[in-house]
Amino acid sequence: MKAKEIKITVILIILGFWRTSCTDFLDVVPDNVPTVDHAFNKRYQAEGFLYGLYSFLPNHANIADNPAFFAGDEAWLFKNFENERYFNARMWTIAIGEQGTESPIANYWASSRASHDLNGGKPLFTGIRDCNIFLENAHKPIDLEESERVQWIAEAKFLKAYYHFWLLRMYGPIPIIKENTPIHYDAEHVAFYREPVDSVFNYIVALLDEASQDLPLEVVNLTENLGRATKPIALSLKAKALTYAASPFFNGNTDYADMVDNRGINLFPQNYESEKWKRAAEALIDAIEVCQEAGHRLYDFQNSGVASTLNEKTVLAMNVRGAATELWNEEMIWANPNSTTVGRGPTLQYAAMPAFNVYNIVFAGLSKSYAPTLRVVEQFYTKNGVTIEEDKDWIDVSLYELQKGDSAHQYYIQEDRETINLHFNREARFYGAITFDGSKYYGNGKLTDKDLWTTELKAGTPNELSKDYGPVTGYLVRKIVHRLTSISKEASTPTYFRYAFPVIRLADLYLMLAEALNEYKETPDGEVYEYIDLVRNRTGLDGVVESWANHSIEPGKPLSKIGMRDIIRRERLNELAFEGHRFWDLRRWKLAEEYMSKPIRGLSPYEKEAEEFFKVQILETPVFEKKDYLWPIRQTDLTLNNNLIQNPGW
Amino acid sequence: MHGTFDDYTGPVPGGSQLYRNAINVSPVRFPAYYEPDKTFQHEKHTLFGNDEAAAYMNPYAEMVKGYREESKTVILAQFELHQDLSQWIDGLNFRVLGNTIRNAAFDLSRAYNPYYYRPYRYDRLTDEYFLEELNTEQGTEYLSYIPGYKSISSSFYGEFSTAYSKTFEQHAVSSMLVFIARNSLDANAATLSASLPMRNMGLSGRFTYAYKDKYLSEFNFGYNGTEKFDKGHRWGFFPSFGLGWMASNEPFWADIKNVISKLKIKATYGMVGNDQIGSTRFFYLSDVNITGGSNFTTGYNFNKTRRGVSINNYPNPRIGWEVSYKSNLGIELGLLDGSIDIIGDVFHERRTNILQSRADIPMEMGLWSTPQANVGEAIGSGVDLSLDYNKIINNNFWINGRATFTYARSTFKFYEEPNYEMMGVPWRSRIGEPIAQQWGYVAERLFIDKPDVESSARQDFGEYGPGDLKYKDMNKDGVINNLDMVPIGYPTMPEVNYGFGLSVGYKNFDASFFFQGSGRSSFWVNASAMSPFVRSGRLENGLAKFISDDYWTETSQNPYAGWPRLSSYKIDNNTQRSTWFMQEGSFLRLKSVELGYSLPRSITNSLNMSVIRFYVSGTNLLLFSKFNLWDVEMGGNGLGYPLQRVFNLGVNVNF
Repeated sequence: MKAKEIKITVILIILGFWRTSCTDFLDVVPDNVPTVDHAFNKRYQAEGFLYGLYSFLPNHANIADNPAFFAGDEAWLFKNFENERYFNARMWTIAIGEQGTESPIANYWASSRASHDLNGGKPLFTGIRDCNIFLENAHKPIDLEESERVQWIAEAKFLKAYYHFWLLRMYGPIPIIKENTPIHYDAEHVAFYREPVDSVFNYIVALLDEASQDLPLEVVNLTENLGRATKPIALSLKAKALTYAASPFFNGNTDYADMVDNRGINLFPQNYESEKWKRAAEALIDAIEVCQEAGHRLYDFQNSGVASTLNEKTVLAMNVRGAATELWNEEMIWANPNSTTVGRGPTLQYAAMPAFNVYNIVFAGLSKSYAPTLRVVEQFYTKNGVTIEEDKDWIDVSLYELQKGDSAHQYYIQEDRETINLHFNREARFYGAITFDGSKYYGNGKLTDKDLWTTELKAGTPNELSKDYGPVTGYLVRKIVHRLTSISKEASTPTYFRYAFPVIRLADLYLMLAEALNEYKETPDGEVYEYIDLVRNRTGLDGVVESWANHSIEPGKPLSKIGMRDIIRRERLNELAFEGHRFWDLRRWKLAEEYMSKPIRGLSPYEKEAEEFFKVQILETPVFEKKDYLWPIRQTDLTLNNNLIQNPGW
Repeated sequence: MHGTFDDYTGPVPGGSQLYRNAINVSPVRFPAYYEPDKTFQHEKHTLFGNDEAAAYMNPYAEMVKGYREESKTVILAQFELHQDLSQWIDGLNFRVLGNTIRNAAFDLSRAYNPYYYRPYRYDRLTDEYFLEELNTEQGTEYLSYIPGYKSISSSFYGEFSTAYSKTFEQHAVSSMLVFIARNSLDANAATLSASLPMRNMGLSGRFTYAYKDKYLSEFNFGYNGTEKFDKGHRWGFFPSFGLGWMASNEPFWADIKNVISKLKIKATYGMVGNDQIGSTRFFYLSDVNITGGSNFTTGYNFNKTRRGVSINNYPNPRIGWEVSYKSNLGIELGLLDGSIDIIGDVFHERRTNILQSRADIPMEMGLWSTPQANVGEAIGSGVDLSLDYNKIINNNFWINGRATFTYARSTFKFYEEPNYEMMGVPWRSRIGEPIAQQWGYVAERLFIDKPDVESSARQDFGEYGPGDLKYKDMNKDGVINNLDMVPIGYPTMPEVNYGFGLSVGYKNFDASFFFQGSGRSSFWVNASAMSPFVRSGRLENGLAKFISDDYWTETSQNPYAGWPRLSSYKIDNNTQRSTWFMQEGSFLRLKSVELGYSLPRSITNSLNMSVIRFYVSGTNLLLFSKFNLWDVEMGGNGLGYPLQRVFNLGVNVNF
């Protein structure tokens, strides 16, 4: 009996094991594991993928991700600032020469697999690859209407063009990724070459031409889709790209005569072609026409409800500040709603909003560290619409001598407050962009200008410079702070008003057109003056010819091409100050080495008394070499692809 | 059935974290707590010290702010059945085994949020200070509940084996077949892939044949399958065989037998497979997270946000088992009538199909993750010796000794890497170098002053200046970047390991000691973790004495100072791996010493016990090493919880 029992037990156990021992035991993966195809099954998922394409847009309003704010000479920080936890100073370290090839700051030449090494950059090559994946699969979703499909394809093309443009602007010649290369291709076929700058520009323009045909004139569903690509945006970007292609850095730049890759191809065009300016001007006119058709106009604060209660001076100062901050105003052609302008972190309003009470300490409330350099403070025009250096009334004026605030300036400067000559009789844009010690501040909860807040920046005041944060030059930027953002007396966090940061606005197009026309024509004519005057008039200034004739020591300057070039450039720097344009403009004009080698100056923010506080001191004299015009490619990436050459000098 | 239960109730951070907190906090920035001043004299809570906006860690506050409870459980249930089948076939038996292990662990804390204070004014005349409250909005006087981790896993193991052994006169045969199946599951998986169970299945067998106890042979095989690989690569067949010769059993050995009591020579060769490769679960599957990408917001009031797709893995069905071919030559020696036993082995191993990332896919491809392939190859070889001494001299006196020595070295024979030869930097290649070899910069000295910095090659790690490390430009291109990294030092895994110990017993006393050592390894002082004053999160790195004794200053400008320029933020230039912070990791440690006394039989028997033994022991008593700043086995961070020297006093009772 026992033997039989054991025998049966044995057989049963063996059978039991056999059942589980089918090879199915090792087959653990269920059938419907998500793959990329699932993202294109239906419209809803495909829209998610489209938004994923948008997510690679650089964070235009983020101080720690957009080099344009601090990596140039527009604003300045200080060494121990790096201890500040909420507001990373890595972009500023580029300005003091700490860029390198090992772990480049703002590394946009990257893909998502190196996400730890971005240092403020974004993996744009993955963005481009994903755009191509979208273009390959856009025919799949079954419930996607044809008209919408066509529009989405155009949006993907627009984004692909923009990513190429951003890389081109930073690195110069880049590989053109027309289609995706399959992964299993061997080493030879994945070793991309950097294409000559002109080829890249042409590719970008061709893509934008295709895209603009199918993009809508305006966003249809404002609540949901404001911020997506439209026809005016595509044409404006095309016009901007052509302006860059015609600019001195990309057009006949002999400094890069030696930039030849291992195919023997010269990557920078060596011959200057003035036709490129004509092409740019035509694209600009086209873009402006379409923008106006879509309803874009220059912003005027006069049209806002509250302006009727305000003094004309306050309104004028708010014009350019509103153009940059008023939510979805008619001048903004393209604004980035995703890059937030509010909140504790590297956001513009956290960094620039002035404090009015000692309770607003940095980690809770405000950083107060977006400090413009003296160069930009001096750069704005006088109220006559000409530069300080050229204004007849300012010949004998000592800029840093003390003067008391008078009733004429009561809306701009605290009456009877001691401040310097530099702050008197300036253009409205100056008062709308700069916060100085003793200035009147429109905002922070006050809608009328009867009794405006006064900003204090000396030592011992709410905006003083402390060891970790504060305005190192003794000034703060006001232009990008929304007028409705406020911080109440005992609060430790402000109440922000969020707005979408403008990437392209109409004044930008007008000024580019004036520049292109001036460069193409032999001498400037009415057409050139027309566009620059539109911008000047909006801010309460007279036209160029009139202002120079009446107030400048060089009255004939606007009549020559070279003089007008200078004037247009200065107008552009003034109009678009602190919006992330100066950094790139100085580079495309090949002026960066001249500007960046001059000392960076500020006031003396550690002082309590006016005579000491308003003394000018040199913060640093940066060293800018030719190599610094372009970003370095990370050394590891050059090792992975032997057909790439490093940017010269790195 | 077997269970382990672990419960912890104690301060929230736990012992070693508290120690680390205390070391990595500035001792002068603020005190642990303040005596109440006029404003806060009625507060019921302790006024803990802090600075800025409560940005720093206060270790005392962390310790007393609450308590943590942790519970860990491991339960093993096993079922085993042996059956001797000698009734049918002589020498045959089989065994069935199944077990399941369940792990569960969780912790939670209950703590209040300490209120922090800082003096903003000190009145020298009245010797009074005035405090301000730093975190009014976050501090609490009541306990909050902070849930901790929850970790649950279960595994199942089943085995079915049969064995047969029989000796027919001069021939001895034995064989064994084992079939196993294993399954394990982790409950807290983050993704679908990680939530799937891990399974192995395999059939192994062994056959041995011995002739006259002199000539031995053995053949093994393993046929293993795993769930990780694609159907075509799931199973691997791994055979091996060995031969042995028991020379001491030969007839001609009889004369020498009293001197060399045993001599056995053996040789084996075989294949072993490894499926624990890479961190990706399923290489052959596309792993896509449909909502894993970054998000983008649009809309007038920023109302609409959608996310894109992220790709964690591109499918590659060709990934399979890593195979290594091992050969071994060994000798077993018995001396002095069996009291000395020496075993020596020489082994050689060739690993193939090592999983590596493809090195030729550039960033411009825009991939989300790096594809991998089984292309690497490595060669290892080494020597393993051990010696045992057992002698019972008489009833009262016995000696036991043991010594072991291992030397092993593995180098890469093929490694997926860019063509360094063509780039002019052949020293970057890993081929021919040990697997755990480290690459780093050759540090020449510290920069003396600004002209020195300007006349040297440009170093691309960020900010640097006088007092910072100057590296050697190996490829003479004027720039210091990763092309100048050369293999430096010994590998981080020691190539030599040894140990020896002795136990002695005399009458009722016994004594033993054991030494352990290793050699031919290097480690690096962790400059990131030890740079004084640098803030990392809420902590500030502590200041070690050897740094404060010898660091670069602007007045001394010593290019060979022990520590480069101090700063309050991390200087990437100085924290690169280089010869400056390289140290020798070899050491010899007196690991344990024990002395014991057992009560005589007569006494123990009268108490109805079999053994009562008193002992005193110590572990980690002595350490000999070239590096003497801190215990070598702590590694690069001297600011961590140190290894302890332990003394024990105890009694063993058996009954």
